[in-house]
Amino acid sequence: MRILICMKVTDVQKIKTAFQKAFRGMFRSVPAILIVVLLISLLKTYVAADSIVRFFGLCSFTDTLLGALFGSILAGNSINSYIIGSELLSAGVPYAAVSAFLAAWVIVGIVQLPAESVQLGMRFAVTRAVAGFFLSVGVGLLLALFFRTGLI
Amino acid sequence: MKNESKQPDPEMNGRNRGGQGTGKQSGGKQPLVSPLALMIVAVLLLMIAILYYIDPEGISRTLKFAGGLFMGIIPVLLVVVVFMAAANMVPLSFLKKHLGSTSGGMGLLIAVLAGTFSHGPAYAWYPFLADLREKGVSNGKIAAFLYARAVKIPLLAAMAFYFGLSFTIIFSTLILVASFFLGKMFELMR
Repeated sequence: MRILICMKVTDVQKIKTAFQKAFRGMFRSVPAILIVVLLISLLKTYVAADSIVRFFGLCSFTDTLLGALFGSILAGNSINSYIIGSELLSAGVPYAAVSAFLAAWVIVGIVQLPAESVQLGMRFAVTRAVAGFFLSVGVGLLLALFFRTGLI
Repeated sequence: MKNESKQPDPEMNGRNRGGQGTGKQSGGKQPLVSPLALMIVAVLLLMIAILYYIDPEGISRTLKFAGGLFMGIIPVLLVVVVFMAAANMVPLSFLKKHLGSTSGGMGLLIAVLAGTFSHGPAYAWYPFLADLREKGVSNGKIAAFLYARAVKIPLLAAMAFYFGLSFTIIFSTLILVASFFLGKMFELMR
């Protein structure tokens, strides 16, 4: 019985230490989170997301690149990307561009880059963002291929 | 700062891999808050102060939105703290075995699945991911987790509503497969 009580005290101590470490880690990350929050808020105020439609329409490939570019720059809840994406679709923007936009919105996130660099290292953050941009373009182009074959 | 590895790892960005395999983390001399992050915050606040003189209404809207956004992510941050605490209790050898650079495809699969189930914005997860990396989780797993976040299980229905079911299925499948292979690519990069 005494051993059991001792074990429980040790466990409680372990949990307490684990949470203390976790809160310390989170506290260390608050400035990085604040950077993203401020950047997203500034972007939301000064860049009208639905005004990007006018940039599309040159050709499918450049539209896909533009979709990935705008998706990388704009940020926020994924639902917002769906709403903007569906508006782009109804404005005649090709599926490839819209899917590149949707993928880059979550995967790249230029506004998150400073925070990601601070937390995970500049090299990792930049490599991940660049690879994510090309992944978004690739997904867009592949989806266009599926669209042509009539699967979508 | 003691560094157990022979060569300094530029990826660690000032953090060390303290206590690998011991279940303990060093980092006694680690600054509580990153000076680089503080510098960027200061620059942003200065920019906002300057912009306030040009467009007070716009900046008021910005700050109001920022306040709402920050309050909105607090629940997610609390969930992340729980994950961080749980990770602190898991033996480092277990994490390294299942999510380290030698864990292979299964580790990547776990990372991809965790990414699709993770909730909230990506930046809320950075502290947890940085913590995991200090414990020996490889860059490939972290990258796969972040890429797979483009597929959000709770939002699949919304995506199907806006773009159709076949689009949603193909888009999600492509992202998941790409996340796996990009994770693998990160594993191969040194």
